[in-house]
Amino acid sequence: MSSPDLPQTEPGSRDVAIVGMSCLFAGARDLDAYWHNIISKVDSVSNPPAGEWDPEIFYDPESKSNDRLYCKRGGYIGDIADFRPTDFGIMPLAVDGGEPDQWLALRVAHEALADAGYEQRPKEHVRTEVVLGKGTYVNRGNLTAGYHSIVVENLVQVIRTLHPEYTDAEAAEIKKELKACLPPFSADTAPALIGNIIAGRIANRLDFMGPNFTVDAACASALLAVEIGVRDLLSGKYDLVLAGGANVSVPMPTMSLFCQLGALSRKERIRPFDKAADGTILGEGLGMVVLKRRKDAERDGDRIYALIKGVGVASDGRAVHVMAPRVEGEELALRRAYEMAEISPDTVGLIEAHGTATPIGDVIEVQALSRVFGGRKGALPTCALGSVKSMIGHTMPAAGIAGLIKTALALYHRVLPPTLNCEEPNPALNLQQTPFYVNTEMRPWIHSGPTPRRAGVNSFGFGGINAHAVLEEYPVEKVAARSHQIHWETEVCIIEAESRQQLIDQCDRLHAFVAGVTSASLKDLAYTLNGGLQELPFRLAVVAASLEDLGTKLKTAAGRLSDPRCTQIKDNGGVYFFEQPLNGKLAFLFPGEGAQYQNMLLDLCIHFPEVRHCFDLTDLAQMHGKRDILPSERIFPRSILSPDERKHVEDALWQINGAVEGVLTGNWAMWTLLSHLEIRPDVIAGHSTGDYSAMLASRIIDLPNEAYLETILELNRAHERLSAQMLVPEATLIAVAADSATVMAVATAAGGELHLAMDNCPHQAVLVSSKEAAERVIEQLRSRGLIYEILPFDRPYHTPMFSAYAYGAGEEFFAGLPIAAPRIETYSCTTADRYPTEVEAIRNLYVDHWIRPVLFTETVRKMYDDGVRLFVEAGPRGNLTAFVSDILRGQPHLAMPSNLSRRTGVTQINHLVGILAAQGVAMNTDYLYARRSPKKIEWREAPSKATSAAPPAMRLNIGLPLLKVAPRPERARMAAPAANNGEASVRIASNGSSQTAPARPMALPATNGNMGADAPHRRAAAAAASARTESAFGQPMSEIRAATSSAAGVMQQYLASMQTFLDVETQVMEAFLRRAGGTPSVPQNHALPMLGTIASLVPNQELTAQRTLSIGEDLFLLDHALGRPVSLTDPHLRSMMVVPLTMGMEILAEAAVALLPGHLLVGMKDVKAHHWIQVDDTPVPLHISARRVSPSASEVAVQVRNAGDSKLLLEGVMVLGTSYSPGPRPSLAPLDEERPSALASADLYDGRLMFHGPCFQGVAAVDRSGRNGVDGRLRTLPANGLFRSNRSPKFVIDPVQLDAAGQLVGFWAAEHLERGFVVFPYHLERLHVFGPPSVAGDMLQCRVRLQLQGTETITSDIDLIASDGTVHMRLEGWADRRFDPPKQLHAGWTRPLEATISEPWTTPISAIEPSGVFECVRLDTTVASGTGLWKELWPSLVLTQNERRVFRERHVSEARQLEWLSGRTVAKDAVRLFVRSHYGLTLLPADIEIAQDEHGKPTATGLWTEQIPHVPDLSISHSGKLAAAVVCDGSKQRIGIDVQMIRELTADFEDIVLTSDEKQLLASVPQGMRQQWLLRMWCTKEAVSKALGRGLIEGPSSVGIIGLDVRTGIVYSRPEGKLAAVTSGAALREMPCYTAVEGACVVAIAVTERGTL
Amino acid sequence: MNTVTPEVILTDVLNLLNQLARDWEYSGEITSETWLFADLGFESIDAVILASFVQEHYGRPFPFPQLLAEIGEREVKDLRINELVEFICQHSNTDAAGAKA
Repeated sequence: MSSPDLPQTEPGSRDVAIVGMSCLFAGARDLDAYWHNIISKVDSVSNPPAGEWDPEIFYDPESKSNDRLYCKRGGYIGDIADFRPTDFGIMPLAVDGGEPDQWLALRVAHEALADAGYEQRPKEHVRTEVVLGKGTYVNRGNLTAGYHSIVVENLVQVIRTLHPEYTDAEAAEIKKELKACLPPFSADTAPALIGNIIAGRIANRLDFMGPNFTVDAACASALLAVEIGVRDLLSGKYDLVLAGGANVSVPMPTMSLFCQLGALSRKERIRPFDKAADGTILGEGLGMVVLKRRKDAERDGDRIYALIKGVGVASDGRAVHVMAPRVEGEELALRRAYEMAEISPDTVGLIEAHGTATPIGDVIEVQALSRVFGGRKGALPTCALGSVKSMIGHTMPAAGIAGLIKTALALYHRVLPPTLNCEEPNPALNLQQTPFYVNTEMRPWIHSGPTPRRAGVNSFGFGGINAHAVLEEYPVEKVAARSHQIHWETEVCIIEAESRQQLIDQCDRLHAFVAGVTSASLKDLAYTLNGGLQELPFRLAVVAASLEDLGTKLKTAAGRLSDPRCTQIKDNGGVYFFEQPLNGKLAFLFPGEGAQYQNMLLDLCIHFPEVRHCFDLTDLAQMHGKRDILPSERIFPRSILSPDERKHVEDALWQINGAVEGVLTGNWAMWTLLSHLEIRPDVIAGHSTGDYSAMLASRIIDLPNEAYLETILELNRAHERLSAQMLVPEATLIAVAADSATVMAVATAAGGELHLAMDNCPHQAVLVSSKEAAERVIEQLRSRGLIYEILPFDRPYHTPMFSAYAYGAGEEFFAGLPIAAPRIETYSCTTADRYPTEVEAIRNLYVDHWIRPVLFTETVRKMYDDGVRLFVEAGPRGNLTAFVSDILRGQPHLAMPSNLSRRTGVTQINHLVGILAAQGVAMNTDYLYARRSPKKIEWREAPSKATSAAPPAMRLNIGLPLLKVAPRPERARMAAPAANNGEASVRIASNGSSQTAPARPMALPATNGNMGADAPHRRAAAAAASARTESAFGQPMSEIRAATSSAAGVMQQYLASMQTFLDVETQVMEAFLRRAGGTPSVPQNHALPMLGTIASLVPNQELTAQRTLSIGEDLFLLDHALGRPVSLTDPHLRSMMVVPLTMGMEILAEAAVALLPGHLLVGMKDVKAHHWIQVDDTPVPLHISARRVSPSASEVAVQVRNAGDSKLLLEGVMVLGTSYSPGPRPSLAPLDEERPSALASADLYDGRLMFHGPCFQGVAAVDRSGRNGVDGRLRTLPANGLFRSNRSPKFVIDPVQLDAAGQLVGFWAAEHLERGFVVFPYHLERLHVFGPPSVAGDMLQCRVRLQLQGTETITSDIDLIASDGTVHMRLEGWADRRFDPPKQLHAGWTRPLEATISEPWTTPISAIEPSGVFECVRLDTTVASGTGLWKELWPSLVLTQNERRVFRERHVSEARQLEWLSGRTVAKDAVRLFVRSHYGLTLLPADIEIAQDEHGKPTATGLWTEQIPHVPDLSISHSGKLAAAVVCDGSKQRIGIDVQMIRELTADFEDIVLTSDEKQLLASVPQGMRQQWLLRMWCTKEAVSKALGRGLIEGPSSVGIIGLDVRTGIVYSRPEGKLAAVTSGAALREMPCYTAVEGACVVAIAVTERGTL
Repeated sequence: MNTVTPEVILTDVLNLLNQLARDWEYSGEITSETWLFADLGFESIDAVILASFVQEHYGRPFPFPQLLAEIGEREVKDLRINELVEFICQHSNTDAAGAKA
């Protein structure tokens, strides 16, 4: 089909508009990132993320086995797959068991709608369709169900067959452990396992009532979804369609399937259309588009990315195989698409190919395209070909949407996007016969045809199903183009001040902000700074590539500014300051031929549509000229061209036509850009051909853009005619490095037809020579030693040799142009003076300009004499700038290019803006940010530490769950007892599982014999080698122990120590080197996980290090939180987290080991914790310093300080040695009054006694306890969950084990003490270490002998005893401080689900109970008086994320804080009690957020409200130390409560509160009770107005008291005035209010029935 | 004839560059490894001016046209300061006679 565009009856009526998009693909978590990656050529194909599946096991490039992969790389989304369930009213706890694609699809759907603007306006609910392409592969959720339902049980049966010795209980435990590896599988997660609910959930959560369904057409799925959507829109059935495709995971089974098919690349590289392509790479991700009919979108004022003109679908019919592509099927899909679109494929400039990089697939695809597009028509190919798969892999059911989104963005931004990895196109594609070329570089999509830019998208699926979509740009003038490339490689930041000192201060302030800020964007900072300029006299401009770069430059600048001798900074790195601005005129200079170059202004075309449009117009002018190569093809050449094509294109840029068009378009584009920046020249001038640009800019030639560019063509045509007539002689142009006088002397000496054509500067003049005279000139130049260059032009411009042109075609051409006096003062280089103003004189001057020399030197001097000091070259390259600098050498001036071939366009513009701003030139910098979503930021204040209000998103697990069990050492030893005959049993652990290898004979001598000189070496190497598959301390400690008595054992211990040294030294070096890279101080290496980044190190003397503790990295904190959990709905909400003392001890130990290379930690002395190290959302930076106590001693004193305030947190002296002493026998006293402990193992960590989470639950059993101590057992826990990025940390001491030892003191205290049973360690006198840390699974005995010291302290001696009965570690003088937590808080902390902090209060509600269900609570706010700990703990137990922020940011007295916190606490407790008794729903306080409605009435909100039919109604009151809250069923009633402490009232209280009628009522009360009743009346007014939901809007008179019943306490009231008016129905009603006196307070409670409102 | 040492020439060249740069500063230190075009932001006319400065300074011609032509043919069209020093050194010491021939 090649029919030309057919006229449509109603243009655009069959168009569908893409109005919103969103996606998530490898490396791109949103649409902006996706586009940025595409045009920046980011290759997001990677190895599988850690933890997905273990390549060590499953990856084998040689294997053909169906459980091995030969290709492991893919487009994985592991790091960016996150989701915020609370945004969609989904319980976070229900997420993990489901298919992750459902959650991501919901997120992406929501984002796409938001992108379409549906966040701000109502969406079409009823007629909206959701269609998603989705495959039916085995994914995480369904595999989880399979594991739960079949596999785990099978596995347990297998284990039992192999290990008949396992008891039922042990088998059950294994099963439990296996299931614990899996996400949950239950009724809650079941919906998320049902495939179509990916679409159903979107319709459900976003409330759509059109159809929702999935389609599966393999790799064509997404385009089929789009096709259905387009069809249903055009038929009028639905009005809005959400279409897309999802392939969120590429699990092992899918990879295997593709390996079995041989479809994956063996080289593990996806190279679409390349000669070396050998298969595809799979990718993960999903994308969605929002579609509407074009006319609806236009009606609604939508932003339209692109129009879908047609979608064609076809099957392959009877292909050779269901998996084989067939050219006829693909061709048919294409033809159907173009038929529907009613456009010719000739007009398509971009094809997003299926391009999987399977050689056969690529060849068939190009064949199909060629059949539809026809053969090559001109000299150059016309249609770019590419595939985004080269960047993100093949995302199968989502592939079509990945391509469609990319193509829509290409059309929207007018960019031809690059494709990766195609270095040499596959010859089998025969591309030179086709209109296609593989586009490998980002290029602006310059376009000038009569039709709009158009593009096609291919998507072909297994099973022979093919789809093609035809897209078209939306007309440019209607695009409100927001850039998707919002971050540039550099930004310019300008600051200013009234004085130099203030500028320095400003500089320091900005530096401090930049140094402290973590999340601000440089773009927003630049926008904020530059947009706030007020023309203050002192300015500093900095061009920076990053916040860090900005910080460095500001610091340097501040230093220089502080030196009074520094009068200016003009650093080519981009720092500009001028004490004295030049205060002269500003000139623009337009360059002439020779300034053009390939790819000039390329990035400016991308960033500024107005710039690109200039190039469009030049092409358009040329289209009419029917030249074979368009200007854009010369300026932005295709990256892959044949050598002939390349030469053709390159030469064309330097032939006269190409050169003139090139430079004039470049000048015009730059003028356009500078005009938008509102940089206004006082004067302008043009060099040679640039004169034409100057005349345009000054409106001497008064034409609009389009016509102007047409005239260039005219000009060139005139040249061509003359050339054809041979009227202009060819000449040689010679640039000589000398002044014009010298050059003229040469010319005179040489003789012949010689003219000075250009006097550029003192070091360059251009001589035009007839061909005949050229050789003599060159001889002269040589003999005089002058440097010269023959220029690549042959026209005798600016000489009499050009007269035939000037007086012929030139004059005639110019006569046809409208000429006017210049609007901006313009200099002519022909006269070295201003342009005349009379039209005739201008015309004459123009003719002269072709035959008289360019007097640039003289012109610039004249401009200087006339007061010009600032020269901006307004065009490509920057040659003129160098001329000006040479001309004005030694005279104060500034010459600056707007463009340089060596810098990107935007960077040079930033430099220009910066230097001009520093010179005080006015401009509008907003233009730089207008399309980049600029945001003002506050930088004068210190950076806010508050994190954003929204809770952080959950990282979704998208890989398959792995089954693991903990090693079972006792059992393993039974099966293979450790030899004590001189052979050592070596355990090889890998992948978390373990097995007992047969004892490996090490051929060690049976006695303490000598081993030969080289033996230790060999052993060390062997140990090092084995350590690669084992942990660093690979030998299980128990086995080292077991063998210690023998020589082999000694050797083993030696080897283990050796390996420790090697590891630690390597890690010290790495930690030290990390500093240089400036990477955040997270533990990236396995050893020294707590030491962070070493800042300075003098081995054996001193060390300092920086370690930042954060909940993001230091996951162990989450398991060391007091009060856990605090929220059932917000899994990110943590209670108060404190660093365990033993983790602090590990820091001390690591610092010491790092300082003394070759040493082991054998003990500690006098470890003191001075302060809690508490971590919340704000990371805590630590400064660690270690120094050797004396040069000879192996002792290191270490201190840990808060790096922020330098507060000393922790210190101790570390004792080091080169080997461990043998562990002594335990020697602690027996237990007094020994008895079995009452604590059952199962109860230890149920939350009532200990707050420790799983990472710290190291006490396996508390066995015996007595008056003076306790004996228990500790299990060595795996350390893989303690840090986020370090899954196998290697500790110097085992801080988890030590913490567990300390916990035994806590268990003892809980069992034996009546008070002060909450204990926290703060001091340790002495620690002895007798061996390396034990390995996970080992069991140690632990004995604690303790003494109470006074009433506040317990000191303990503790032995940890290895299985051989020797002491492994001994702690002496472990001191715990005892605390008495307030009863209420303790209950809220240990039994969060059942307990409330407030106490129920029945008095106020007893009288109203017959009318409904109520809960009322009260709290004595002195609950937290005493130590600071409880004040810290309380808010963390009850507040939500938002409330915590409010609490932190309230700057009020402590009493007010306490009141606020108490109010929230009682409200939450009352709500909790109510929903539990009323709806059976259990909540924690921090599930409930207390907000206020628009009238100030408190309301309870939270996710839980979706689970109950009506939100309860709530009222809170405070008085003195009392807070109270009451709650009722909000669907029926509203409630108000008020409490007042009974106190002396001032005399005028009554006058203020009561009306005269009310006073009379009060007078009827017996005298002794009047005080109390006055308060009851006051409380009534408050309570009634609260129950009406408004409060006392007009003060006490808002509620009138109309009666009292002294017997029952009822006060009768009535709303008055405005309150009565706004509560209409209740206005005239008499409202009873129940009041009572309890203790020292009066309480009143009022209820209104909903019906009365 | 006096032999000119590279050390002396390097000092001369750095001085000449300073004259050429006028009030512009370069963030990085200029060493013999510095590239004229990429690091110092030279345009072709700057190279020519520098060459003139060199010739004026030494009061004699050097075959700069060949050098510039050679740079034009390079993959990386640029010149390191030490190459310029070598060039000056070589021609100062050896081809003075050749130039006359």
